[in-house]
Amino acid sequence: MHDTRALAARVVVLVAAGAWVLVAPAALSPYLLIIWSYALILSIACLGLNLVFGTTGLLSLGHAAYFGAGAYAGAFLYRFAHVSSFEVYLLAGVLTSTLLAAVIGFFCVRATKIHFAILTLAFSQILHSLFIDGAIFRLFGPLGWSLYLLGGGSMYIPRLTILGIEFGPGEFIPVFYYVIVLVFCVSVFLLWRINHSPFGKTLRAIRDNHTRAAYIGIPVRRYRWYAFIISGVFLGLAGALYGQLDRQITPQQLDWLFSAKLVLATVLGGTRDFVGPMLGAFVFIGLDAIAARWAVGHNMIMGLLLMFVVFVFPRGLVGALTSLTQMARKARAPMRLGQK
Amino acid sequence: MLEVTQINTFRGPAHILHGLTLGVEEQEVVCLVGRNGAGKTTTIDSIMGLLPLKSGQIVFHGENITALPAHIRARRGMGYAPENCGLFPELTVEENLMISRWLANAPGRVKEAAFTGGDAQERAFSVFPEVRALTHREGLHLSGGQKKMVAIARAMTLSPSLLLLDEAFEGLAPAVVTRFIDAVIKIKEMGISILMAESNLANASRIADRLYAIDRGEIIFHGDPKEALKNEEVMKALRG
Repeated sequence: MHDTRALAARVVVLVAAGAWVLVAPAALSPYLLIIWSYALILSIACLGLNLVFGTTGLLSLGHAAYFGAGAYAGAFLYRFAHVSSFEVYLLAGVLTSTLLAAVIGFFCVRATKIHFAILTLAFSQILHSLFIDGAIFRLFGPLGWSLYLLGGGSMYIPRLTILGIEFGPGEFIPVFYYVIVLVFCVSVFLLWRINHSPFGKTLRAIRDNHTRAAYIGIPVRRYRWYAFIISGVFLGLAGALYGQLDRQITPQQLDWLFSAKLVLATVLGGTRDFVGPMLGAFVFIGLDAIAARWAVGHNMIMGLLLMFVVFVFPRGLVGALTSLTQMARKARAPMRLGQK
Repeated sequence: MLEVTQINTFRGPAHILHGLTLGVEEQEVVCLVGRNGAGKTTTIDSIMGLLPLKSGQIVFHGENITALPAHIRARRGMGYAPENCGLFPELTVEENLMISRWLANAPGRVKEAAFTGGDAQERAFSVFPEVRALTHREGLHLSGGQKKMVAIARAMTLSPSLLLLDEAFEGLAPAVVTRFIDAVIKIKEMGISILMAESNLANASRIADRLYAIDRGEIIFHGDPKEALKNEEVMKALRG
Protein backbone atom coordinates (compact mmCIF):
# COMPACT_ATOMS: atom_id res chain seq x y z
CA MET A 1 0.00 0.00 0.00
CA HIS A 2 2.77 2.35 1.08
CA ASP A 3 4.90 1.38 -1.96
CA THR A 4 2.01 2.03 -4.35
CA ARG A 5 1.42 5.46 -2.83
CA ALA A 6 5.14 6.32 -3.02
CA LEU A 7 5.27 5.17 -6.66
CA ALA A 8 2.16 7.22 -7.49
CA ALA A 9 3.71 10.28 -5.82
CA ARG A 10 6.87 9.83 -7.85
CA VAL A 11 4.95 9.50 -11.10
CA VAL A 12 2.94 12.66 -10.30
CA VAL A 13 6.15 14.60 -9.50
CA LEU A 14 7.85 13.37 -12.69
CA VAL A 15 4.86 14.19 -14.90
CA ALA A 16 4.49 17.65 -13.31
CA ALA A 17 8.25 18.31 -13.71
CA GLY A 18 8.13 17.12 -17.34
CA ALA A 19 5.11 19.31 -18.12
CA TRP A 20 6.74 22.32 -16.45
CA VAL A 21 10.00 21.81 -18.36
CA LEU A 22 8.09 21.73 -21.65
CA VAL A 23 5.93 24.81 -21.03
CA ALA A 24 8.61 26.89 -19.28
CA PRO A 25 9.57 28.95 -22.40
CA ALA A 26 5.92 30.01 -22.80
CA ALA A 27 5.27 30.52 -19.09
CA LEU A 28 8.41 32.41 -18.10
CA SER A 29 9.70 35.83 -19.09
CA PRO A 30 12.96 35.82 -21.13
CA TYR A 31 14.90 36.86 -18.00
CA LEU A 32 13.41 34.11 -15.84
CA LEU A 33 13.91 31.56 -18.62
CA ILE A 34 17.63 32.40 -18.62
CA ILE A 35 17.76 32.08 -14.80
CA TRP A 36 15.97 28.74 -15.05
CA SER A 37 18.44 27.62 -17.74
CA TYR A 38 21.37 28.60 -15.47
CA ALA A 39 19.84 26.46 -12.73
CA LEU A 40 19.69 23.44 -15.06
CA ILE A 41 23.34 23.99 -16.09
CA LEU A 42 24.50 24.42 -12.50
CA SER A 43 22.63 21.21 -11.63
CA ILE A 44 24.70 19.28 -14.18
CA ALA A 45 27.89 20.81 -12.76
CA CYS A 46 26.93 20.05 -9.14
CA LEU A 47 25.92 16.48 -9.96
CA GLY A 48 29.27 16.03 -11.71
CA LEU A 49 31.17 17.51 -8.76
CA ASN A 50 29.25 15.32 -6.34
CA LEU A 51 30.58 12.16 -7.97
CA VAL A 52 33.97 13.16 -6.56
CA PHE A 53 32.75 14.99 -3.46
CA GLY A 54 29.70 13.20 -2.02
CA THR A 55 30.11 9.78 -3.64
CA THR A 56 33.89 9.31 -3.45
CA GLY A 57 34.48 11.53 -0.41
CA LEU A 58 37.04 13.92 -1.93
CA LEU A 59 36.46 17.65 -1.56
CA SER A 60 37.56 19.42 -4.71
CA LEU A 61 38.11 23.18 -4.60
CA GLY A 62 39.20 23.32 -8.22
CA HIS A 63 36.31 22.06 -10.33
CA ALA A 64 35.85 25.51 -11.84
CA ALA A 65 38.89 24.60 -13.98
CA TYR A 66 36.91 21.95 -15.90
CA PHE A 67 33.81 24.14 -16.13
CA GLY A 68 35.89 27.02 -17.49
CA ALA A 69 37.84 24.76 -19.85
CA GLY A 70 34.55 23.47 -21.23
CA ALA A 71 33.44 27.05 -21.90
CA TYR A 72 36.74 28.36 -23.31
CA ALA A 73 37.76 25.45 -25.59
CA GLY A 74 34.99 25.96 -28.12
CA ALA A 75 35.42 29.73 -27.95
CA PHE A 76 39.03 29.37 -29.11
CA LEU A 77 37.86 26.99 -31.82
CA TYR A 78 35.30 29.53 -33.00
CA ARG A 79 37.73 32.45 -32.84
CA PHE A 80 40.75 30.81 -34.51
CA ALA A 81 39.26 28.01 -36.66
CA HIS A 82 35.95 29.80 -37.42
CA VAL A 83 33.88 26.80 -36.37
CA SER A 84 30.37 28.05 -35.70
CA SER A 85 28.56 24.79 -34.95
CA PHE A 86 27.27 24.40 -31.40
CA GLU A 87 27.73 20.61 -31.56
CA VAL A 88 31.45 21.02 -32.29
CA TYR A 89 31.68 23.70 -29.60
CA LEU A 90 30.13 21.29 -27.08
CA LEU A 91 32.34 18.39 -28.14
CA ALA A 92 35.50 20.53 -27.95
CA GLY A 93 34.54 21.67 -24.45
CA VAL A 94 33.85 18.16 -23.19
CA LEU A 95 37.03 16.70 -24.71
CA THR A 96 39.21 19.49 -23.30
CA SER A 97 37.76 19.28 -19.80
CA THR A 98 38.00 15.47 -19.82
CA LEU A 99 41.64 15.60 -20.86
CA LEU A 100 42.39 18.27 -18.29
CA ALA A 101 40.62 16.29 -15.55
CA ALA A 102 42.56 13.17 -16.54
CA VAL A 103 45.92 14.95 -16.25
CA ILE A 104 45.18 16.97 -13.09
CA GLY A 105 43.25 14.12 -11.48
CA PHE A 106 46.17 11.74 -12.02
CA PHE A 107 48.25 13.85 -9.62
CA CYS A 108 45.47 14.93 -7.23
CA VAL A 109 44.22 11.42 -6.37
CA ARG A 110 47.65 10.65 -4.93
CA ALA A 111 46.56 12.75 -1.94
CA THR A 112 43.46 12.58 0.25
CA LYS A 113 41.47 14.85 2.59
CA ILE A 114 42.75 18.43 2.94
CA HIS A 115 45.83 17.70 0.80
CA PHE A 116 43.57 16.65 -2.06
CA ALA A 117 41.53 19.86 -1.69
CA ILE A 118 44.71 21.97 -1.71
CA LEU A 119 46.06 20.21 -4.80
CA THR A 120 42.83 20.70 -6.75
CA LEU A 121 42.78 24.35 -5.71
CA ALA A 122 46.44 24.84 -6.70
CA PHE A 123 45.97 23.32 -10.16
CA SER A 124 42.84 25.37 -10.84
CA GLN A 125 44.59 28.58 -9.74
CA ILE A 126 47.50 27.81 -12.08
CA LEU A 127 45.01 27.45 -14.95
CA HIS A 128 43.22 30.63 -13.86
CA SER A 129 46.51 32.56 -13.83
CA LEU A 130 47.31 31.32 -17.36
CA PHE A 131 44.11 32.99 -18.55
CA ILE A 132 44.19 36.11 -16.40
CA ASP A 133 47.85 36.80 -17.35
CA GLY A 134 47.20 36.07 -21.01
CA ALA A 135 49.73 33.23 -21.33
CA ILE A 136 47.14 31.00 -23.07
CA PHE A 137 46.28 33.79 -25.50
CA ARG A 138 49.96 34.27 -26.40
CA LEU A 139 49.95 30.73 -27.83
CA PHE A 140 47.65 31.98 -30.60
CA GLY A 141 50.11 34.59 -31.86
CA PRO A 142 49.51 38.34 -32.31
CA LEU A 143 45.76 37.86 -32.91
CA GLY A 144 45.44 35.94 -29.64
CA TRP A 145 47.43 38.54 -27.75
CA SER A 146 45.37 41.44 -29.11
CA LEU A 147 42.22 39.50 -28.16
CA TYR A 148 43.57 39.28 -24.62
CA LEU A 149 44.41 42.98 -24.50
CA LEU A 150 40.92 43.77 -25.75
CA GLY A 151 38.98 41.62 -23.30
CA GLY A 152 41.38 41.09 -20.39
CA GLY A 153 41.00 37.31 -20.73
CA SER A 154 37.30 37.40 -21.56
CA MET A 155 35.94 36.03 -24.82
CA TYR A 156 32.74 36.70 -26.66
CA ILE A 157 30.99 34.07 -28.77
CA PRO A 158 28.01 34.60 -31.06
CA ARG A 159 24.85 32.51 -31.28
CA LEU A 160 26.18 29.30 -32.84
CA THR A 161 24.22 27.16 -35.27
CA ILE A 162 22.25 24.27 -33.76
CA LEU A 163 22.07 21.23 -36.07
CA GLY A 164 23.25 23.56 -38.84
CA ILE A 165 20.34 25.99 -38.35
CA GLU A 166 20.97 29.63 -37.57
CA PHE A 167 18.42 31.05 -35.11
CA GLY A 168 17.60 34.73 -34.77
CA PRO A 169 17.87 36.70 -31.48
CA GLY A 170 14.22 36.20 -30.54
CA GLU A 171 14.07 32.46 -31.07
CA PHE A 172 17.56 31.38 -29.99
CA ILE A 173 17.02 31.25 -26.21
CA PRO A 174 13.80 29.16 -26.31
CA VAL A 175 15.44 26.70 -28.75
CA PHE A 176 18.67 26.59 -26.78
CA TYR A 177 16.66 26.03 -23.62
CA TYR A 178 15.44 22.70 -25.04
CA VAL A 179 19.04 21.77 -25.87
CA ILE A 180 19.93 22.43 -22.22
CA VAL A 181 16.94 20.34 -21.08
CA LEU A 182 18.04 17.47 -23.33
CA VAL A 183 21.65 17.56 -22.06
CA PHE A 184 20.34 17.85 -18.48
CA CYS A 185 18.10 14.78 -18.87
CA VAL A 186 20.88 12.71 -20.47
CA SER A 187 23.36 13.81 -17.76
CA VAL A 188 20.97 13.00 -14.91
CA PHE A 189 20.21 9.59 -16.42
CA LEU A 190 23.89 8.74 -16.94
CA LEU A 191 24.96 9.94 -13.49
CA TRP A 192 22.05 8.09 -11.87
CA ARG A 193 23.15 4.90 -13.64
CA ILE A 194 26.77 5.46 -12.57
CA ASN A 195 25.74 6.09 -8.95
CA HIS A 196 23.66 2.93 -8.80
CA SER A 197 26.12 0.70 -10.68
CA PRO A 198 28.70 -1.52 -8.95
CA PHE A 199 31.22 1.18 -9.87
CA GLY A 200 29.18 3.78 -7.96
CA LYS A 201 28.85 1.47 -4.97
CA THR A 202 32.59 0.91 -5.12
CA LEU A 203 33.17 4.67 -4.96
CA ARG A 204 30.92 4.86 -1.88
CA ALA A 205 32.89 2.01 -0.33
CA ILE A 206 36.11 3.97 -0.94
CA ARG A 207 34.50 7.04 0.64
CA ASP A 208 33.44 5.08 3.74
CA ASN A 209 36.80 3.40 4.32
CA HIS A 210 39.59 3.19 1.76
CA THR A 211 41.58 0.60 3.74
CA ARG A 212 38.60 -1.76 3.77
CA ALA A 213 38.11 -1.06 0.09
CA ALA A 214 41.73 -2.02 -0.65
CA TYR A 215 41.59 -5.40 1.05
CA ILE A 216 38.50 -6.47 -0.82
CA GLY A 217 40.44 -5.84 -4.01
CA ILE A 218 39.51 -2.28 -5.01
CA PRO A 219 42.35 -0.33 -6.66
CA VAL A 220 41.47 2.77 -4.64
CA ARG A 221 43.64 5.34 -6.40
CA ARG A 222 42.62 4.22 -9.87
CA TYR A 223 38.91 4.34 -9.06
CA ARG A 224 39.28 7.81 -7.53
CA TRP A 225 40.94 8.85 -10.77
CA TYR A 226 38.11 7.39 -12.88
CA ALA A 227 35.58 9.31 -10.73
CA PHE A 228 37.59 12.50 -11.23
CA ILE A 229 37.66 12.06 -15.02
CA ILE A 230 33.92 11.30 -15.27
CA SER A 231 33.27 14.33 -13.09
CA GLY A 232 35.37 16.42 -15.50
CA VAL A 233 33.20 15.26 -18.43
CA PHE A 234 30.03 16.65 -16.83
CA LEU A 235 31.70 19.87 -15.68
CA GLY A 236 32.92 20.39 -19.26
CA LEU A 237 29.42 19.76 -20.56
CA ALA A 238 27.97 22.29 -18.13
CA GLY A 239 30.72 24.81 -18.93
CA ALA A 240 30.10 24.59 -22.68
CA LEU A 241 26.33 25.09 -22.19
CA TYR A 242 27.03 28.04 -19.91
CA GLY A 243 29.42 29.60 -22.45
CA GLN A 244 26.80 29.52 -25.19
CA LEU A 245 23.97 30.71 -22.93
CA ASP A 246 25.98 33.62 -21.51
CA ARG A 247 27.98 34.19 -24.72
CA GLN A 248 30.57 35.96 -22.60
CA ILE A 249 33.29 33.77 -21.10
CA THR A 250 35.52 35.30 -18.43
CA PRO A 251 38.37 33.98 -16.24
CA GLN A 252 35.86 34.20 -13.36
CA GLN A 253 34.53 30.84 -14.50
CA LEU A 254 37.97 29.37 -13.76
CA ASP A 255 38.41 31.08 -10.42
CA TRP A 256 38.35 29.29 -7.09
CA LEU A 257 35.36 31.41 -6.03
CA PHE A 258 33.34 29.67 -8.70
CA SER A 259 34.62 26.30 -7.37
CA ALA A 260 33.43 27.40 -3.94
CA LYS A 261 29.99 28.25 -5.42
CA LEU A 262 29.74 24.74 -6.83
CA VAL A 263 30.65 23.23 -3.45
CA LEU A 264 28.18 25.52 -1.65
CA ALA A 265 25.30 24.66 -3.96
CA THR A 266 26.08 20.95 -3.60
CA VAL A 267 26.28 21.11 0.22
CA LEU A 268 23.12 23.19 0.30
CA GLY A 269 21.14 20.42 -1.39
CA GLY A 270 22.90 17.54 0.38
CA THR A 271 25.83 15.44 -0.76
CA ARG A 272 24.56 12.01 0.31
CA ASP A 273 21.43 11.89 -1.87
CA PHE A 274 21.48 11.78 -5.63
CA VAL A 275 18.94 14.61 -6.02
CA GLY A 276 20.66 16.78 -3.37
CA PRO A 277 23.08 18.64 -5.70
CA MET A 278 20.27 19.28 -8.20
CA LEU A 279 17.98 20.75 -5.57
CA GLY A 280 20.92 22.72 -4.14
CA ALA A 281 21.70 24.20 -7.55
CA PHE A 282 18.09 25.30 -8.13
CA VAL A 283 17.77 26.84 -4.65
CA PHE A 284 21.20 28.48 -4.95
CA ILE A 285 20.35 30.12 -8.28
CA GLY A 286 16.95 31.16 -6.88
CA LEU A 287 18.48 32.74 -3.78
CA ASP A 288 21.16 34.39 -5.91
CA ALA A 289 18.48 35.91 -8.18
CA ILE A 290 16.53 37.18 -5.15
CA ALA A 291 19.65 38.57 -3.45
CA ALA A 292 20.67 40.29 -6.72
CA ARG A 293 17.84 42.79 -6.16
CA TRP A 294 19.98 44.38 -3.47
CA ALA A 295 23.10 45.35 -5.37
CA VAL A 296 25.05 46.62 -2.34
CA GLY A 297 24.45 43.80 0.14
CA HIS A 298 24.10 41.01 -2.45
CA ASN A 299 26.98 38.87 -1.20
CA MET A 300 26.13 39.53 2.45
CA ILE A 301 22.49 38.46 2.00
CA MET A 302 23.65 35.39 0.10
CA GLY A 303 26.15 34.55 2.85
CA LEU A 304 23.56 34.94 5.61
CA LEU A 305 21.04 32.78 3.77
CA LEU A 306 23.62 30.05 3.27
CA MET A 307 24.70 30.23 6.93
CA PHE A 308 21.07 29.80 7.95
CA VAL A 309 20.68 26.73 5.74
CA VAL A 310 23.94 25.15 6.92
CA PHE A 311 23.10 25.65 10.62
CA VAL A 312 19.45 24.62 10.36
CA PHE A 313 19.86 21.81 7.79
CA PRO A 314 23.35 20.33 8.28
CA ARG A 315 22.49 17.37 6.02
CA GLY A 316 21.33 19.70 3.29
CA LEU A 317 17.83 20.39 2.04
CA VAL A 318 17.20 16.80 0.96
CA GLY A 319 18.33 15.55 4.37
CA ALA A 320 15.94 18.00 6.04
CA LEU A 321 13.06 16.96 3.79
CA THR A 322 13.77 13.28 4.53
CA SER A 323 13.80 13.95 8.29
CA LEU A 324 10.50 15.86 8.05
CA THR A 325 8.88 13.04 6.06
CA GLN A 326 10.06 10.47 8.61
CA MET A 327 8.74 12.60 11.47
CA ALA A 328 5.36 12.95 9.74
CA ARG A 329 5.19 9.18 9.19
CA LYS A 330 6.03 8.49 12.84
CA ALA A 331 3.42 11.00 13.98
CA ARG A 332 0.77 9.33 11.83
CA ALA A 333 1.65 5.74 12.79
CA PRO A 334 0.08 5.71 16.34
CA MET A 335 -3.07 7.34 14.94
CA ARG A 336 -3.49 4.48 12.49
CA LEU A 337 -3.00 1.93 15.26
CA GLY A 338 -5.60 3.78 17.32
CA GLN A 339 -8.07 3.70 14.43
CA LYS A 340 -7.75 -0.08 14.21
CA MET B 1 50.96 -21.83 -0.62
CA LEU B 2 51.86 -19.01 1.77
CA GLU B 3 55.38 -18.58 3.10
CA VAL B 4 56.09 -15.75 5.51
CA THR B 5 59.81 -15.49 6.21
CA GLN B 6 61.55 -13.43 8.87
CA ILE B 7 59.21 -10.43 8.74
CA ASN B 8 59.74 -7.35 10.89
CA THR B 9 56.81 -4.93 11.13
CA PHE B 10 56.45 -1.61 12.94
CA ARG B 11 53.32 0.28 13.97
CA GLY B 12 54.60 3.84 14.14
CA PRO B 13 57.75 3.72 16.26
CA ALA B 14 56.78 0.41 17.94
CA HIS B 15 58.54 -2.72 16.70
CA ILE B 16 55.72 -5.32 16.74
CA LEU B 17 56.84 -8.36 14.74
CA HIS B 18 60.38 -9.65 15.34
CA GLY B 19 61.54 -11.91 12.51
CA LEU B 20 58.24 -13.81 12.36
CA THR B 21 58.12 -16.90 10.13
CA LEU B 22 55.07 -19.04 9.32
CA GLY B 23 53.50 -20.97 6.46
CA VAL B 24 50.16 -22.27 5.25
CA GLU B 25 49.77 -25.29 2.96
CA GLU B 26 46.99 -26.08 0.47
CA GLN B 27 43.62 -26.93 2.09
CA GLU B 28 44.92 -26.40 5.58
CA VAL B 29 43.51 -24.55 8.58
CA VAL B 30 46.30 -22.82 10.50
CA CYS B 31 45.63 -20.91 13.71
CA LEU B 32 47.79 -18.14 15.07
CA VAL B 33 47.13 -18.06 18.81
CA GLY B 34 48.19 -15.40 21.25
CA ARG B 35 46.85 -13.08 23.92
CA ASN B 36 45.78 -9.50 23.20
CA GLY B 37 48.67 -7.38 21.97
CA ALA B 38 50.83 -10.37 21.01
CA GLY B 39 50.94 -9.35 17.33
CA LYS B 40 48.22 -11.50 15.72
CA THR B 41 46.40 -8.67 13.93
CA THR B 42 49.72 -7.11 12.91
CA THR B 43 50.73 -10.45 11.35
CA ILE B 44 47.46 -10.70 9.41
CA ASP B 45 47.64 -7.03 8.34
CA SER B 46 51.25 -7.53 7.19
CA ILE B 47 50.30 -10.56 5.12
CA MET B 48 47.34 -8.67 3.60
CA GLY B 49 49.59 -5.70 2.75
CA LEU B 50 47.89 -3.23 5.08
CA LEU B 51 51.14 -2.61 6.96
CA PRO B 52 54.53 -2.20 5.28
CA LEU B 53 57.31 -4.61 6.23
CA LYS B 54 60.62 -3.30 7.49
CA SER B 55 62.28 -6.51 6.34
CA GLY B 56 61.42 -10.09 5.44
CA GLN B 57 59.53 -11.72 2.61
CA ILE B 58 56.03 -12.99 1.83
CA VAL B 59 55.58 -15.55 -0.95
CA PHE B 60 52.08 -16.55 -2.14
CA HIS B 61 51.61 -19.33 -4.71
CA GLY B 62 55.33 -19.08 -5.50
CA GLU B 63 55.17 -15.32 -6.18
CA ASN B 64 56.97 -12.77 -4.03
CA ILE B 65 54.14 -10.43 -3.01
CA THR B 66 56.09 -8.45 -0.38
CA ALA B 67 55.89 -5.20 -2.33
CA LEU B 68 52.38 -5.65 -3.73
CA PRO B 69 49.57 -3.41 -2.44
CA ALA B 70 46.55 -4.90 -0.62
CA HIS B 71 44.14 -4.75 -3.56
CA ILE B 72 46.51 -6.75 -5.78
CA ARG B 73 46.94 -9.37 -3.04
CA ALA B 74 43.14 -9.62 -2.83
CA ARG B 75 43.02 -10.15 -6.57
CA ARG B 76 45.73 -12.81 -6.33
CA GLY B 77 43.32 -14.83 -4.16
CA MET B 78 43.68 -13.57 -0.58
CA GLY B 79 40.39 -12.98 1.22
CA TYR B 80 40.29 -11.08 4.49
CA ALA B 81 37.64 -10.83 7.20
CA PRO B 82 38.98 -8.47 9.89
CA GLU B 83 38.15 -8.43 13.59
CA ASN B 84 35.85 -5.40 13.20
CA CYS B 85 34.20 -7.11 10.18
CA GLY B 86 34.99 -4.16 7.88
CA LEU B 87 31.55 -3.89 6.31
CA PHE B 88 30.58 -0.65 4.63
CA PRO B 89 27.87 0.58 7.01
CA GLU B 90 25.88 2.66 4.53
CA LEU B 91 25.72 -0.10 1.94
CA THR B 92 23.29 -2.99 2.17
CA VAL B 93 24.57 -6.54 2.54
CA GLU B 94 23.67 -7.11 -1.12
CA GLU B 95 25.73 -4.08 -2.13
CA ASN B 96 28.65 -5.17 0.07
CA LEU B 97 28.61 -8.52 -1.72
CA MET B 98 27.92 -6.91 -5.10
CA ILE B 99 31.21 -4.99 -5.03
CA SER B 100 33.23 -8.13 -4.36
CA ARG B 101 31.26 -10.11 -6.97
CA TRP B 102 31.84 -7.37 -9.53
CA LEU B 103 35.57 -7.14 -8.70
CA ALA B 104 35.87 -10.93 -8.87
CA ASN B 105 34.85 -10.73 -12.52
CA ALA B 106 36.97 -7.66 -13.28
CA PRO B 107 39.68 -8.04 -15.92
CA GLY B 108 43.20 -8.60 -14.66
CA ARG B 109 42.18 -10.84 -11.81
CA VAL B 110 44.28 -13.98 -11.38
CA LYS B 111 41.81 -16.77 -10.82
CA GLU B 112 43.35 -19.34 -8.52
CA ALA B 113 39.96 -20.91 -7.86
CA ALA B 114 37.57 -22.26 -10.46
CA PHE B 115 34.72 -20.24 -9.01
CA THR B 116 34.05 -16.63 -9.84
CA GLY B 117 31.44 -13.94 -9.27
CA GLY B 118 27.94 -15.38 -8.83
CA ASP B 119 29.11 -18.98 -8.25
CA ALA B 120 31.40 -17.77 -5.49
CA GLN B 121 28.49 -15.95 -3.88
CA GLU B 122 26.39 -19.12 -3.98
CA ARG B 123 29.25 -20.96 -2.27
CA ALA B 124 29.31 -18.25 0.39
CA PHE B 125 25.54 -18.62 0.89
CA SER B 126 25.93 -22.38 1.22
CA VAL B 127 28.29 -21.78 4.16
CA PHE B 128 26.11 -19.07 5.72
CA PRO B 129 22.51 -19.47 4.44
CA GLU B 130 21.49 -16.89 7.08
CA VAL B 131 23.13 -14.16 4.99
CA ARG B 132 20.61 -14.62 2.17
CA ALA B 133 17.84 -13.23 4.38
CA LEU B 134 19.92 -10.17 5.30
CA THR B 135 20.68 -8.93 1.79
CA HIS B 136 18.45 -5.82 2.00
CA ARG B 137 19.72 -4.70 5.39
CA GLU B 138 22.37 -2.02 5.74
CA GLY B 139 25.69 -3.05 7.29
CA LEU B 140 25.00 -0.61 10.12
CA HIS B 141 21.91 -2.53 11.24
CA LEU B 142 23.41 -5.98 11.72
CA SER B 143 24.27 -7.73 14.97
CA GLY B 144 27.89 -8.66 15.75
CA GLY B 145 27.44 -12.28 14.65
CA GLN B 146 25.63 -11.28 11.46
CA LYS B 147 28.40 -8.82 10.60
CA LYS B 148 31.00 -11.56 11.00
CA MET B 149 29.01 -13.91 8.75
CA VAL B 150 28.65 -11.23 6.06
CA ALA B 151 32.34 -10.33 6.34
CA ILE B 152 33.38 -13.94 5.70
CA ALA B 153 30.76 -14.32 2.93
CA ARG B 154 32.07 -11.15 1.28
CA ALA B 155 35.66 -12.38 1.44
CA MET B 156 34.53 -15.68 -0.12
CA THR B 157 32.76 -13.86 -2.98
CA LEU B 158 36.22 -12.85 -4.24
CA SER B 159 36.98 -16.58 -4.75
CA PRO B 160 40.01 -16.67 -2.49
CA SER B 161 42.40 -19.58 -2.25
CA LEU B 162 43.49 -18.35 1.18
CA LEU B 163 41.16 -16.81 3.75
CA LEU B 164 42.61 -14.65 6.53
CA LEU B 165 40.27 -14.50 9.53
CA ASP B 166 41.06 -12.16 12.38
CA GLU B 167 39.35 -13.08 15.66
CA ALA B 168 36.38 -14.61 13.87
CA PHE B 169 34.95 -16.00 17.16
CA GLU B 170 35.50 -12.87 19.23
CA GLY B 171 32.40 -11.77 21.14
CA LEU B 172 30.25 -14.69 19.98
CA ALA B 173 28.10 -16.88 22.26
CA PRO B 174 29.44 -20.48 22.67
CA ALA B 175 26.60 -21.90 20.54
CA VAL B 176 27.36 -19.43 17.76
CA VAL B 177 31.09 -20.28 18.00
CA THR B 178 30.19 -23.90 17.22
CA ARG B 179 28.18 -22.65 14.20
CA PHE B 180 31.24 -20.71 12.99
CA ILE B 181 33.56 -23.69 13.55
CA ASP B 182 31.26 -25.79 11.32
CA ALA B 183 31.42 -23.01 8.73
CA VAL B 184 35.24 -22.96 8.81
CA ILE B 185 35.34 -26.73 8.33
CA LYS B 186 32.94 -26.39 5.37
CA ILE B 187 35.10 -23.65 3.81
CA LYS B 188 38.16 -25.87 4.17
CA GLU B 189 36.30 -28.72 2.43
CA MET B 190 35.76 -26.36 -0.51
CA GLY B 191 39.53 -26.30 -0.97
CA ILE B 192 40.16 -22.93 0.62
CA SER B 193 43.08 -22.63 3.05
CA ILE B 194 42.54 -20.61 6.21
CA LEU B 195 44.90 -18.64 8.42
CA MET B 196 43.09 -17.62 11.54
CA ALA B 197 44.13 -15.32 14.36
CA GLU B 198 42.53 -16.47 17.60
CA SER B 199 43.04 -15.71 21.27
CA ASN B 200 41.19 -18.77 22.59
CA LEU B 201 43.43 -21.85 22.41
CA ALA B 202 40.52 -24.25 23.10
CA ASN B 203 38.53 -22.93 20.12
CA ALA B 204 41.61 -22.90 17.91
CA SER B 205 42.49 -26.51 18.75
CA ARG B 206 38.98 -27.61 17.67
CA ILE B 207 39.61 -26.67 14.04
CA ALA B 208 43.34 -26.13 13.43
CA ASP B 209 45.43 -28.61 11.45
CA ARG B 210 48.49 -26.77 12.68
CA LEU B 211 48.96 -24.05 15.23
CA TYR B 212 51.39 -21.23 15.84
CA ALA B 213 51.57 -19.54 19.22
CA ILE B 214 52.74 -15.93 19.19
CA ASP B 215 53.99 -13.80 22.05
CA ARG B 216 55.47 -10.28 21.85
CA GLY B 217 55.77 -10.53 18.07
CA GLU B 218 57.66 -13.83 18.02
CA ILE B 219 56.55 -17.38 17.31
CA ILE B 220 57.08 -19.38 20.50
CA PHE B 221 55.45 -22.62 19.39
CA HIS B 222 54.66 -24.37 16.12
CA GLY B 223 53.02 -27.76 15.76
CA ASP B 224 50.05 -29.95 16.59
CA PRO B 225 47.23 -28.15 18.49
CA LYS B 226 47.01 -30.97 21.05
CA GLU B 227 50.69 -30.55 21.88
CA ALA B 228 50.13 -26.82 22.38
CA LEU B 229 47.57 -27.57 25.08
CA LYS B 230 50.23 -29.59 26.96
CA ASN B 231 52.99 -27.02 26.43
CA GLU B 232 53.55 -25.05 29.63
CA GLU B 233 55.34 -22.16 27.92
CA VAL B 234 52.41 -21.67 25.52
CA MET B 235 49.82 -21.81 28.29
CA LYS B 236 51.84 -19.34 30.35
CA ALA B 237 52.17 -16.93 27.43
CA LEU B 238 48.44 -17.13 26.67
CA ARG B 239 47.48 -16.47 30.27
CA GLY B 240 49.78 -13.41 30.25
